[in-house]
Amino acid sequence: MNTQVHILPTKPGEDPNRRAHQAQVKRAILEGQAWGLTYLLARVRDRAPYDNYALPNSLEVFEFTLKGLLRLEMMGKPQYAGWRRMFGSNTKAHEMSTWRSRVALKAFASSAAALDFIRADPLWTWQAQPPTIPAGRKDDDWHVVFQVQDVWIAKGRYRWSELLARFLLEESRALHLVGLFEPLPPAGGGSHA
Amino acid sequence: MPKHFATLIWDWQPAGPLVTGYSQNLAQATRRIERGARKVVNLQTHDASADHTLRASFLATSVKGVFRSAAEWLVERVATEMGAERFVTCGYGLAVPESKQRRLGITQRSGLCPVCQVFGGTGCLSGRDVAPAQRQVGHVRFSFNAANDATYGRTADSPRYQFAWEQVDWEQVEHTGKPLLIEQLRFEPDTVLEARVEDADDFALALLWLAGDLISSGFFRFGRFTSRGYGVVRLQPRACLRADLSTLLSAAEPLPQPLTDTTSGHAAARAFLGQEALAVVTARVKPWVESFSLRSAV
Repeated sequence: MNTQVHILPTKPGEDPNRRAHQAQVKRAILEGQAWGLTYLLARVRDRAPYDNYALPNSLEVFEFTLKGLLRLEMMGKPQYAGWRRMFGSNTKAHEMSTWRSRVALKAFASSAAALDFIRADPLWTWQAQPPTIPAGRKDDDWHVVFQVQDVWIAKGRYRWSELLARFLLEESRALHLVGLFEPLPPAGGGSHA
Repeated sequence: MPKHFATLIWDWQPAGPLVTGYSQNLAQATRRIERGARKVVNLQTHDASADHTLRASFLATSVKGVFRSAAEWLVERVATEMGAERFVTCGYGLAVPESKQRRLGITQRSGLCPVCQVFGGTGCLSGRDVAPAQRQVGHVRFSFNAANDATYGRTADSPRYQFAWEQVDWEQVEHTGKPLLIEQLRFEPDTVLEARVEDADDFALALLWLAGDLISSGFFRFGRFTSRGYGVVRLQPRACLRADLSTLLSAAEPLPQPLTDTTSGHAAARAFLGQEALAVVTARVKPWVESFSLRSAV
């Protein structure tokens, strides 16, 4: 029997590398704009992902609180903690210390509803050969659409959407990545190193 | 060629909650909420169509800001695809801290970027000696439902939100954080958004339609809490009119041409302009990027 305890860290302000983490995100936003738009689709993996936290019962409340949950989940993972400010920052300091989130969230009752939202994006009409978006199911629990405005990070080695996708695939206890769609790939191709 | 005017019309279709308006401090100062109350309320303006009563509203001027952001993003993307590594629009240039401006080549810039030429602006040297000389009034103005500066709707409170870190249950300790209530706006389903454009060349129309697509996708959103599921509005192109002044003033006033079977601004541009909108934007951005490269080389 697995008795491992999973505790979600609580306070978003307990980062000993706060300044370094702020600086790396600031630099990525200033110098690493990828000019690409990416959808990530994730399903709820576990409604009680931590011993001290369970998802709200309402989809609307879940949608609103999800950003905070993901930031807290990232805070406990050293390789991701420094990038959680890509969800936005409001430090009230001067000069570019306030920036908007590079990912917007939207929650849906099922994969069918989430994929309908993605399919309705007019940006698909910009492509000569738009991909076929699957239909999904109407009975497979909550799903979340992440709309990522992409940024090259880690000195251009990979993108914010790739890091977030890996986090959702391997690290998040609340969500699990099930799809990725690119209505606008990064300008200038897939490398920035 | 005579100066042309245009009207672009979209159906305004919110796809989720919307909220805009007062900051917490202003709401307290104006006594719309009690001090310390965790409640977000909307801006209120006088509704001319309802006895000038104060009603929760969504201003067309904020729509212009989002269109401008989307247009800047698009123009910078197009410039990057041309290989312009350090190209920035004036809006972005203004946001960059001074310490970074030289590195990004912003101190060498003069003139208005293609976005400023449509939306107006002072260039990215705003506030310095050169700025007033090149100030330009915007050529586009947004309104709702035939020239209303705002759209009005019903309001309803959100569920009682608590942020994730307020919900964490440590050793069954009861949490004392007050829940947050957000006044959400719901608009009438027949709301339409209009953009009136002076000097309505192909570039201006293509830029507006493509910016409308970026907004409609949900990647660019309106109001507050945009990264938490709020602010998504689908913009469905409905109609367009472009004419010179003599035609507009003629006895037979022209009507906007309906855009049927156009699910996107990209498709609307193809139907109305007979051209690919991205090609039109690229053609305008190219000389600007080239002139910037020349100035950098000097």
